[in-house]
Amino acid sequence: MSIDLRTPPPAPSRAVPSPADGRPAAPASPAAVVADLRQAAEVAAPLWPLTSFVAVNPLGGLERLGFARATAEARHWTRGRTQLPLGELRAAVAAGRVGTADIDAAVRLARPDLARLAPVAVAGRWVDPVGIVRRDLLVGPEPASAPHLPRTAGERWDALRGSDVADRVDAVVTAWAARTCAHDGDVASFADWRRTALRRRSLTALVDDEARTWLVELPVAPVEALAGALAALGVDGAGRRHELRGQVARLRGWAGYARWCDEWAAADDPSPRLSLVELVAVRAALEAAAVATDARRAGASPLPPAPQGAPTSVDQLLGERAAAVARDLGGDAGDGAAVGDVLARVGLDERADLALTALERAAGAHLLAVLDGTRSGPALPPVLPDTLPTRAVDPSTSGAGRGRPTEPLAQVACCIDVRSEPLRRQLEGTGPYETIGFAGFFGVAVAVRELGWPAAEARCPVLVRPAHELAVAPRAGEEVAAGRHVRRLGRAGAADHALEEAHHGAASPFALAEAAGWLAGPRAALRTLLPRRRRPVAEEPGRFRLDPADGAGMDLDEQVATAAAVLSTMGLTDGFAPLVVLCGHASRSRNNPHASGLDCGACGGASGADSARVAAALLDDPDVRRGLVARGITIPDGTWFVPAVHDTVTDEVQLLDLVDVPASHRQLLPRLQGDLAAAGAAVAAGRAEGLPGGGAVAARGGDPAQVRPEWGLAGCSTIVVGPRSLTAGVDLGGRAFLHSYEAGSDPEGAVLETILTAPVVVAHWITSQYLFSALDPEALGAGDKLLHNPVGAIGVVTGAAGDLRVGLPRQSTAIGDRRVHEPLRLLVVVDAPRDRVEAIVARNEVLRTLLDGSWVHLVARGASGAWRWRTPGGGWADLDGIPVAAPATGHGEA
Amino acid sequence: MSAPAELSLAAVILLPALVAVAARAVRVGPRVPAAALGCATALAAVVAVATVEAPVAVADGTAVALVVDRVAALLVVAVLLVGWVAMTYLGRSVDAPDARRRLQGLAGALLAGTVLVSASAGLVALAAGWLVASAALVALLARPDEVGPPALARRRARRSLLVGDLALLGAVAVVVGVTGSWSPGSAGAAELLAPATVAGLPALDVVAVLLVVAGVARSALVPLHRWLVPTIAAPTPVSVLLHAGFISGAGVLVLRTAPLVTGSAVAAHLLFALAVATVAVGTLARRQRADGKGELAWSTVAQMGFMGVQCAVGALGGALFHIIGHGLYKAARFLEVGDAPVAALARRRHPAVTRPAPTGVRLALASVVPAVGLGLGWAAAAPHLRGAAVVLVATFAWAAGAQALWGALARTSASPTSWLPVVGAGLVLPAAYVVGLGVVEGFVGDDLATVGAGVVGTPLLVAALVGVLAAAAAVRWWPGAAGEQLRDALDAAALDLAEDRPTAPGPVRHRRGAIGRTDPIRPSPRPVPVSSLPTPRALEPR
Repeated sequence: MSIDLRTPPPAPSRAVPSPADGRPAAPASPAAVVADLRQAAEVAAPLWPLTSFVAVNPLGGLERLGFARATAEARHWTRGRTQLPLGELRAAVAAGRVGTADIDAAVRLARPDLARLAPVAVAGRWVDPVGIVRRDLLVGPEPASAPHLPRTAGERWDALRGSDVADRVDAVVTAWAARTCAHDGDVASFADWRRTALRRRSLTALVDDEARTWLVELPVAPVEALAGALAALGVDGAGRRHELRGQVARLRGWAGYARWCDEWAAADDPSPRLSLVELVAVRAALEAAAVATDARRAGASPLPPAPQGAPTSVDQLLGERAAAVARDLGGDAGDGAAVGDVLARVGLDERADLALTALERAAGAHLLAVLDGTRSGPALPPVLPDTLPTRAVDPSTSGAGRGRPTEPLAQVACCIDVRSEPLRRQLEGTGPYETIGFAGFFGVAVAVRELGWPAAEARCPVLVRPAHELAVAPRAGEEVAAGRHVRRLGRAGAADHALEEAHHGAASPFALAEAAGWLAGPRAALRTLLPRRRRPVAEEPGRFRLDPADGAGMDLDEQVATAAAVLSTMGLTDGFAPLVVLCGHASRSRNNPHASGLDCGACGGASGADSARVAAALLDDPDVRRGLVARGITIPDGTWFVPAVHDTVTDEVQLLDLVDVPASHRQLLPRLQGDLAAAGAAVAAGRAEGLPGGGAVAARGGDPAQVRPEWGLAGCSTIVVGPRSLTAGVDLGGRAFLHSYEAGSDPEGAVLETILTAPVVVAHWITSQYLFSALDPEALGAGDKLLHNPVGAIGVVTGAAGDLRVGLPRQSTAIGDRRVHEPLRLLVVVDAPRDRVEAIVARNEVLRTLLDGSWVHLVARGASGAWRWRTPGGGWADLDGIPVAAPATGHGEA
Repeated sequence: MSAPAELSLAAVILLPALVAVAARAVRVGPRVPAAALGCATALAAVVAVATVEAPVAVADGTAVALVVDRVAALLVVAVLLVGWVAMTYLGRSVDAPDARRRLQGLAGALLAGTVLVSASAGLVALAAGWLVASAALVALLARPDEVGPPALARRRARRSLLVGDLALLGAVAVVVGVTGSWSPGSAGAAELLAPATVAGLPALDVVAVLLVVAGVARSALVPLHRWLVPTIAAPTPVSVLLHAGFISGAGVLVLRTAPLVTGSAVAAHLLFALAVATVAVGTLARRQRADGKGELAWSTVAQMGFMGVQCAVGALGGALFHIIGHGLYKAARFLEVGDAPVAALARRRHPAVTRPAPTGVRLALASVVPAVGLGLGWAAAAPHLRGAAVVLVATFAWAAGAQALWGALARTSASPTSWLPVVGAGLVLPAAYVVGLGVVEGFVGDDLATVGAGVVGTPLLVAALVGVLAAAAAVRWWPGAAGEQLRDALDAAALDLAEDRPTAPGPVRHRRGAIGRTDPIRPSPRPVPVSSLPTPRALEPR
C-alpha cells in the first residue's frame, strides 16, 4: 500500500516564484513531498465506492496515537465531535445504568498508573486518586467548544482577512472531481484539471492573470506541481506535513476515495481513478493562486509565514476541575492543589476516554454476568438512557446457557454479523439445531464470474485478495437454459444501454421522457404505494453450478487444504449433523445508495450466497472428503453441506443448490425449511418493533421511499469468540458478532490468531464506523439520507455540491434526534486462556496497537476461569480493575 | 354532469387543502395526509371518467368556478398521483414529527394550488392557485435548521417566482379591468381583449406577454432558469413533487389560456425564442453534470424548453402528452435516484458483445427502423396530426428511437436471434409512442383549446430546427484551430453554466472574524487573534 505515482519524481528544475509573498521559496524535493503526503493522508480514511461500500475506522490512520489522542487530533482535522460529552455518562449514572463501581473499575482498567498513586488528603481525610478522577467525571466542568484553528494556508488567510477563499477553492475542486470521476474508466489528473480550468470564466473570480500565469507555468507532474504550490504558500520544512494534512482534511471524502484508488483498488476495478497526489496538487495549487490573487486585489500584505511558537496545550480547565472535585469532597480552595496534582495526569481527552470506558465497562460487566449465568434478561441492554432499541426484547430466552442438542438435525453456520445472532437464537429455540458463527465468506477467498458476466467480482474481505477466479457454469443438460439465460441478460443489457443512450443524447431525451413516463411513473408510484419484497438472490432453480474447480479454480490439493482450513477455523471437525447449512447473508433495497453497506462485509460488500455455494460444493466433493481423511477430518457419508442465504431485510433463509442434495437427505429438507421460516418470522416480528413506520418488515426492501430498509449493524458493540454454549439462550439483542471457537482444540492458538487478526479487526472497523457516525452524524457520518445526491457510482454529496460524504447516513444510527446506536468501542470477549491471547497479541503489532491504544477492549479467561480484562500495556486485571499477576511461564496465574 | 362527479371535484380540491391546514393545526399521523391524497387521486379518477360525458363544473358562474374538462382531468389525476407518492414518501422518510408535518402541510398546499390552476374556470381562481403553489414551494425549500445552499435555493426561487407571480397578477388585472368580469374565461376574454388597448399597447399582447413571463418564471425557462438546479438541496420527496407537477406551470398555463397566449403573435414568438434557448442551455448544461440529481434538474430545464416549443407552435395535444409523461418520468427518476450504484454495478455485469454488426448497418437500421415505426403508428392512430405537431413528432420521436436503437445495437451481437427482438422493439416502440399520443389526443378530443392566430408557424419551427442542427454540426466539426477554440470555449461555458454552484459566483466575500466559519455545524462564538494560534508543530502527532 503506497502512494501511486504515475511519473517518477524528477529533481526540481527551478524555483517557482511565489505568488503569495514574493519570497523565492525553493520547492521541496518530490521525494520529501511524497513522504509527507503519505503521512498527511492519515487524516482521511480510505473511502470505498458505493458499489462495494466497506466500513472502516474513520480514525484508522491515527490508530498509533491511541484513542484519546487520536480523537483529539481528529477533532481538529475533521471539525467533528469525536468524544462523548461527560453529560452522557452523568445521565447514565442518574438513570442507574452505570454505578460508581463501574467508573472506578474503568479508571483502574484504563489507567493502572492512577490506581498505584498514593491517597491524597482532602478536607481532612484520605481520598483514593481513583475516587478523585471519578468525581471529576461526575462533577467536573466540561470544556467549552473551542474555536477551530486554521488547518491550511488558505484557512489562515481567511482567518486573517475574514474571507472565504478556502471554501471557494473546495467548491471548484469538488466540482472538478465529481465531473472527472463520473464514469467507469475515467482518470482524473492535475494536468487535466489545469487544461479545462484555465479556460473557465468562473475561475477569474478566484484567480487573476498573474496567478493564472503562475498556474500555467507550474510543472505538469503532480508531485512537482504540489511542491511548487507548497513553496508558493510559504510552507516549508516542518510546516509542510501540517499543510498537507490540512489540504487532505478539507476534502476528506475525495481524499478518502483517492486513498482507496491508490491503496486498495484492484488493478482491474473499473471505478474511476483519482490519485491523492493529483487531488492535493489541484487543491494546493488553486489555493496558492487564490490567496495570492486575493492579496493583490485587496492590496493586503501577503500571507505571513505560519507562526512558529511554543505549543499551547495547557489544560486551562485544570484549576476549575480541581476546585469542583475539592468542593464535592467537602474541601476548600486549599485542597484544590492536591486534587489538581492527580487530575493533571488526566488530560481532557483522557478524561473523555475514561468516561467512555466507564460506559463500556458497565455494559461489559453486565454482559459477562449474563454469560456466566449470574444475571438474567437481555445481555446487552442499552447503557445510555434514551437509546431506542433496534428490536424487541426476546421473551423466550432464559438467560442461562443451553446445552448442545445431542443429535442435531442440522448444523447451521452463519456469518459473524450481528444480524445472524437473533436468527441463530430463534433457530435453536425452534428445533434440534446447532449453530456456528464464522466469517461470511466461509474462508474461500474467491472472485466469482456469474454466467454472462464479462468479469469476475471479488467475494471475500477487502483484507484478502481473491486467490481464485471461479466461473458459474451450466449443469449437465442445462446448456440450452444457460444460453437462454445469457441471451436474456444480453437483451437486458441492450435495453439498459438503449435507455441510457437515449436519456443522455442531445435530441433524444424529449420524446423518451414523455413516452417512458407513462410507464415508469405508474410503476414507481406502485412501488412506493404498495411496496413489495425484493429477493436478494435470483431464483435460478439449480440450473447453474458454482464449482470450485471451474474457471481459474483450485486444484484438488488446494481444495483439500481450503476445506481443512475452513472446518478447523469453524471448529467443526467431528460430530457432523446430517445437514450442515452454510448460510451467507445479503440485503437488497431500493433507492438506497448505501445498499451495499447492508450486504456481507466479509464478502467485500456483496451477497454471501456465492461464497456459501463454493464452500458447500467444496465440502460435498467426494475427492475433497477423501483428501480430508488424510488430514484427520472425516466427514461421514451421512452428512451433506447445503449453501443458503439469509435475507437480512426479510429474515427469510433461502436454501440454495437443492438439486445437488442426494435423495437420502431430501426428506430432511422440509422440516429444516419450515423451522428456518419459523425462526425467521420470529426474528422479523421482533425487528418490526424497532423499525419506525410499522408495517411488514419484508416490504421495506422494495420501497423507494424507505430510508431504513433495515437497521443494518446498528447497535453493534461486542464480539464473542468462543463456543456457542457460552452464549446459547442469551438474548444479545442483535448487538454481538459471534465467532465460534473451541479453546480446547486449538492449543497452539493458530486458529485464535486468525480470528483475532481478521474477524476481530473487521468488527473493530465496523464498530468504529458506527461509533463515529453516531457521535457526529454530520462531520463523521454522511448526514441526512434524504438530501443525498449520488455522484456516479462512487459516493454521495449533500444537495447540489460539496465533498463526498463519508461514514453512515444519519438514518442508520438514529431516528430524528433519538439515538439508536450507542457510540461504544468494541468489546472482544475471548473464551480462551489469557496467556494464549497475550502471546498472540505480543506477536501481532496490529493487535498491540488496537489494545494498547484502547481502540478495543478485550477480556479472556484467567486460570481460575474468571474473566480477566486486558489493560493497556499488556497487564491483566479482574473486572474491578484489580491487577492480577502476569503468568510467569505462559500458563497459570494467581 | 352528475352530482357524484361534482362532489368528487369539490373533494379533489378540498382534500389537499385540508392536508395543508390540518397537518400543522391538528397533530395528524404520518399516513393521514397520504391517505387523503390517495382519496383525492381516486376521486380525480372518478371526475376524469365523468368528463367523458361532459365537463364537470362546481360553483359555475362565480369567481371560484371550477370546470374540469378532459384535459384538466388528466392533469389533475397525474398531479395528484405524484402528490400521493410524494406525500407517502414524506410520511415514511422524515423522522422529526414537526418537520414532517410542516413538509406534508406545505406539500398539501402546493398540490391544492396546482390542482386549482388546472381546474379553475376563470383567471382569478387560476391566479389564486398559482400564488398558493408558489408560496408553498418557496416555503418547502426553506429548511429552518440549515444555512447555506438551501437558503440560496429558496432565495433564488423566491425572486424568480415572484417575477412570474407579479406578471400573472398583472395579466389578471388587465383582463378584469378590460372585461369588467371577475370570472372571465380565457376564450371569452380573448375576444373582449382583442379590440382593447392598455397604455397604447394592444391589450391582448400585453396580457399574453405577461402570461408568458409568468410561465417562463414558473417553468425555469431562460432567462429565469437558474432557480431550479439549486432546489436539489431540498429533500428528495420535495424534488419529486416539484419536478412532477409544479414545474410544468408554463404548459398548464398555456393549455388553460391558449386563446390568450396563442392569440398574440408577439407572445407566442417570445415564448418560442425563450423555449428554444432553454432547450440549448439545458442540453449543454446537463451533459456536464455527473451527480444524479443535478443531471435530472438540468434535464428538466431542457424538457421545459421543449414543452415551451410545443406550446408556442400550438401543438397542445403534444404539450399535454409531454407535461404528464415527463412529470411522471421525472418523478420516477427522482424516486430511483439512489439506485445509481446498483445500476452501475448491473451495467458492469452486462454480457460482453461478441460481434456487433458493422457500423454502417447499425447506422442504417437505427435511422430507418424507427422512421418506419413512426409512420405505421401515424397511419394507425394519429392521422389528425397536422403541421408543426407532425414536425415535432417526426423529429424528436425519431431522434429518440434512432438513438435508443443505435445504443441497443451496439450491445447486441450480430446474430439473427439477437437482432430480431431489438429491431422489433425499434419498430414497435416508436409506433406505440404515436399510438399513445393518438389515444391521449383522442380522449381529450375537442376539449383541447383551439389555438389562436398568433402561433409560431411551421416554417419558423423548421427553420429553427435546421438552424440549431446546423449550429451544432458546425461546432462539432468546424475544422482547424478555430474549431478547437470554439469547442473549448463552448465546453468551458457549459461547465460554468452547469456548475453554477452556490459558492462559486461573485467575487471573494470578506467577513470579519470568521475563523470558525468553515465549520458547518458549530460556528465559533468568537474570533481568535492570529497571534494566539498554535504552531503547526503543536498539532503534529509525536
